[in-house]
Order: sequence, then structure tokens, then C-alpha cells
Amino acid sequence: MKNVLIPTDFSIRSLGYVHNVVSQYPDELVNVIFMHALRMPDSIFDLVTFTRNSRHIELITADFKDGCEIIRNKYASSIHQLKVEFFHGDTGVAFKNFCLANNIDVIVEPSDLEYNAPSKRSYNPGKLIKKAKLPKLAATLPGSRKVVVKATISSLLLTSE
Amino acid sequence: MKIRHKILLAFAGLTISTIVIMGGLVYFFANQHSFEDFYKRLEIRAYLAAKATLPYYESDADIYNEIREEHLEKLPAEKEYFLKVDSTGHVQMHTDLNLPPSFYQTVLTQHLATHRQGNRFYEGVLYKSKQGLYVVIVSAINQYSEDYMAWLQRILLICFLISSVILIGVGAFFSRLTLQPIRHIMNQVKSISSRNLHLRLNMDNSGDELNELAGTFNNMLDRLETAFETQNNFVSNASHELSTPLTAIIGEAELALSKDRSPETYKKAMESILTEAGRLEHITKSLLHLAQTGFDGMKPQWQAVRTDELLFTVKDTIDKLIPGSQVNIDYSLFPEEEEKLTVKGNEQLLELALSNIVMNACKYSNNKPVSIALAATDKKVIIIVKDQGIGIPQQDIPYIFSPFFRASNTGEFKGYGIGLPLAMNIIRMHKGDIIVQSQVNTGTEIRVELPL
Repeated sequence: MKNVLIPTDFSIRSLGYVHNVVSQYPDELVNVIFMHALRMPDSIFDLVTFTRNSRHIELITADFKDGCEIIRNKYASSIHQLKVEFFHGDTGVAFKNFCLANNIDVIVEPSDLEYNAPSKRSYNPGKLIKKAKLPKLAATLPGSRKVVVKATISSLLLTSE
Repeated sequence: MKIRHKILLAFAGLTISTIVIMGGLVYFFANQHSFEDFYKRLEIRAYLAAKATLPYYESDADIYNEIREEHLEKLPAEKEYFLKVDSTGHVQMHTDLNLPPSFYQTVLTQHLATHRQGNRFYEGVLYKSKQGLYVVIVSAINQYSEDYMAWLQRILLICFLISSVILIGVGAFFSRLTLQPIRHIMNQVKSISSRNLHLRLNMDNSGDELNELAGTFNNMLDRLETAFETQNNFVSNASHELSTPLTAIIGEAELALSKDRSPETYKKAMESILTEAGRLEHITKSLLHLAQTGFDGMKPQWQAVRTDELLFTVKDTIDKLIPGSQVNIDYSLFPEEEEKLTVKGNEQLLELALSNIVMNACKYSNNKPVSIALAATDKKVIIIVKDQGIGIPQQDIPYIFSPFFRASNTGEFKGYGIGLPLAMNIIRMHKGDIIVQSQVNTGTEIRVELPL
């Protein structure tokens, strides 16, 4: 069983890296952990009223949830679990601790993710991933093709035309 | 009861009851305090009187009397009593006094006691003089505080009346003010009827709740107007669609009958009449379908439908119906488990709906590749039909599910505008939804969602 971390901005496109992961480990059960990186709040009030997850859950769109379910149904036999975790912080040590806490084995390093921050505190954790010492899996989105409208479930499709 | 009156009542009730409670408390505490004050005064008088009447030295009496006369004014109905206490601790009663024995008892034990008889106040002190123990009692009528309390009562009452009047007035004003926008909206809505559905409610930029209400109303009016227009257009469109082939049939027949012709010409005429009649039949059939599916009361047979099989059937049908079409089934999101593919529904109807959508995709893209993908979440099955056709203009998207509506860029394609409304009716029957996303000249993506 492998625990694989995939950075996400809650766009449907970022779900597409699961295809890579599954094809990389064809004979193994995989736990996929989608990580959304958020900066720590910098005002005292926000720190006092800081909660780990509840306030950020609304960042997860209904389409993203649908997409997760579709992926899980598609790879029902190879994906054991698929969950979303929020990573608060922007230092290498914090990231290392996060990986330790979640028992991460491999980090997916997306090479062609156009990161669109869904909230003010979100940021692209690409640099942190590059510095991390865990094994990495370079991934490109399968089938780069014209997408009629971005951010719909159809951007999960594989066939290239 | 109107809300305006309720608000007024609640507001006035709340504020006036607060004022009443406050006034009551003021009166109660002032009353209590005036007693204490009066008892204190009586106490001083009692001691002074005792010292003046029963002095240790004769010369002191004069001084005390002088002080009393010069500095203490006589209280109304002031009376003094000196009651000797004999050696057994018994108080000599005075005939004028009608005080309870407990009063004397308190004086003897605590050296001080008060008593009240209606308006008359008694203060007794125990005084030890050369002649022996005395109970000195001073009594007077508390005229000042009597007047004072009456005055206070009057002021409180007047204040209460004035403030009540003001509060009720202000309350009426405020309840009018708060409900003003609602009355405004009501008046505006009243003026909108089926004849002037284009009218909308005024909205400002304050973003308050009532503005949102107005916005909601406007939204509803938009939908109503569209529905009205569709309804109005439906009959004219339907009769137009039906009359076009009819005119062609009549014209062809009249032309053929106008004079004797060769059998070939008759044959040709009959053939064109046949195609037009076929078209007519197709339209009436579609209309019938539309009417049947739009009618909720009719329940077709429901069974478990495998959506993947549905997709294959649709592909076969389209391949037969439109030669040269390129329909591809996209397997990349197929779920692994079969039970995620089965929906409850009527297979014929679903096939009709889906083939209408796919047929449109083929038709409006001039047989460019069309992909049908199937995906399943935990609660619904999603079918995505994608083409690379002419697309649908953004302003037309809200209307594409109204019967006989045809998007503005469909001029060169034949069609009646029945297919998509029919599909929508069928999907709605299955409690599903159709979501359309499109870009002109790039393609259209139609997502059909069916609940598991």
C-alpha cells in the first residue's frame, strides 16, 4: 500500500494526475491524499480563531467532489482511499511534518498544472515539493487537448483528439 | 392584524413596560428612603428632648431648649412622651399612646425602636438620666415626605403619559418606515400583469434583504416572461412547422392536377408529396412525444437500465441513422463496478433522449467526431456528450430547451426545435438534469446527470 500525495487547487484538472499514479503502480493499492496548501494566518485574531479544516471545506467545489467520486469509482480496485487534506504553513519543516503525519511515500510533482488559487491564502506548493526529500513522481496531464470549457468534469477525460 | 401594527405593539409594549418598571422602582425606593430619613430626624429630636427635659445639670436644660427652639423647627403635630421605667423593668404606659407592647420591648432591649400608625411615625429611645431610666417617645406626622411622594407620583405619572404618547408616535413612524419598501414592492408587483410582463421592480445598490427580494421577484418575472413567450410562440411555431409541409403537399397536388401530365410527372409529384407527408408525420410524432413526456401524470414502465448498454445502443442507432457520423465512446472514466452503471428508468425514453442529444451533436458539427463519455459518482451517473460543432451562442443557452426554439446560428441546418425539449422532458422525468456548456465555433458539451 502506497500513500501518494497530490497537490491540488481544487480544479478538476488536478484530479487528472490520479491517472498517472494508478498507471505507475498497477499492482498496488494506493491511498491518494490531495493536499491543498494554505498559508498560516498573519493577524492575531485569525490565529486565535484558527480552526484546522472546517472553514476551508467550502473551498472544495461540488464538481471536485463529483470528480473524486468518479475517479474512485473508475479505479475502485486500485485506489483504497481518496481524501483531501489541508496543509497549513509554508516552510519546509512544516511540510516534512505534514508528510510524516500522513505517512506519505511518494509525492506527485505536477509539471503542467496551471495553479489558480481558490482562496486568498492558497498558494502553489511547487517549491516545497521540489525541496522535499521524499521520492517524487513527475507527472503530466494525460491527453493535453482542447477543452471546451475548463473546470468541468469533462477535463478528466483521457482521450485526446 | 397587520405586521405594521404588530411591530408597533411590540415596540410600544417593550418600551412602555420598561418605563413603568423604572417609575415603580423609583417610587418604591424614594418612599422607603423618606421613612428612614424621617426616623433619623425623630431620633435626634428624641435625644434632644430627653436631654432638655431630664438634664444631668439644671443649666444644661436651658442650652438644650435654646438649641431646640432656634435650630429645629417644630414638625407637624409633634408630640413628646417621657415614660418612666420602674425597677422591675416595667414601662409606665401613657393614656394617649396606643403602641403595641413589642415596641416597648424593642426599646428596652435595643435602646431604639420605630413604629408607624398610618401617617403618624413613632420613634422611641431609651434614656438614662439622673432620675432613672426613661423611654422617650417622639411622634410626628410625616407631612414633608407625604407631599414629596405625592409630587413624585404626579411627576412620574406625567412623564409616563408623555413618553407613552411619544413612543407610540415614534413606533408608528418606524413601523411605517421599515415596511415602506415592502409596500413599495407590493405596489410595483400589483402593476405587473400578463400584459406588461416586461416591467421589473426597481432595485438600488444597497444590497439589503429587500433588494434581494426584489431581485428574486425579478428573476421569477424573467422566467415567467420566458415561459409566456414560449407558450405564445409555441402555437405559432407549431402551426408554421405543420403548415410548411402541408403547403408543399397542396401545391404539388394542385400543380399535378392542373392539366394532364405524363405518368413520370405524376410519379415525381407523388414522391415529393410522400416525403413531405413523412416530414409531417415526423413532426406530429415528435409533438406527441413531447406532449406525453411533458405530462407528469403518465408513468411509463420503470426498470433498471444499464447506462453503458444504453450508450452502445445509441451509438448503433446513430450509426444507422446518420451515415458518416463519427460517434466514439470514451471509456476513460467508466467505473469498475456494474452497480454504479445502473439507473432506474424507462429504456426507450432514455434512448430517445440520448439519441436526440447525440444526433444534434452530429448534425451541428457536420459529422465531426462526437465523444460520449460515461462516469459515475456515488449518487449519479454522468453522461458527457462532446462535439466540435458550431456551438450555441451564450445568449441562446437559456432558451434551447423551449419547444421550437432554434439558436440564431442554426440557419443552414434543418430542424424543428423539438429534440432538446423532448430530451429535457425525459431527463426531468427521471429526476435528472442537463447542463450545457458551449462556445461558438469551438464545440458544445452536454452533461446529462441521472440519479442512481
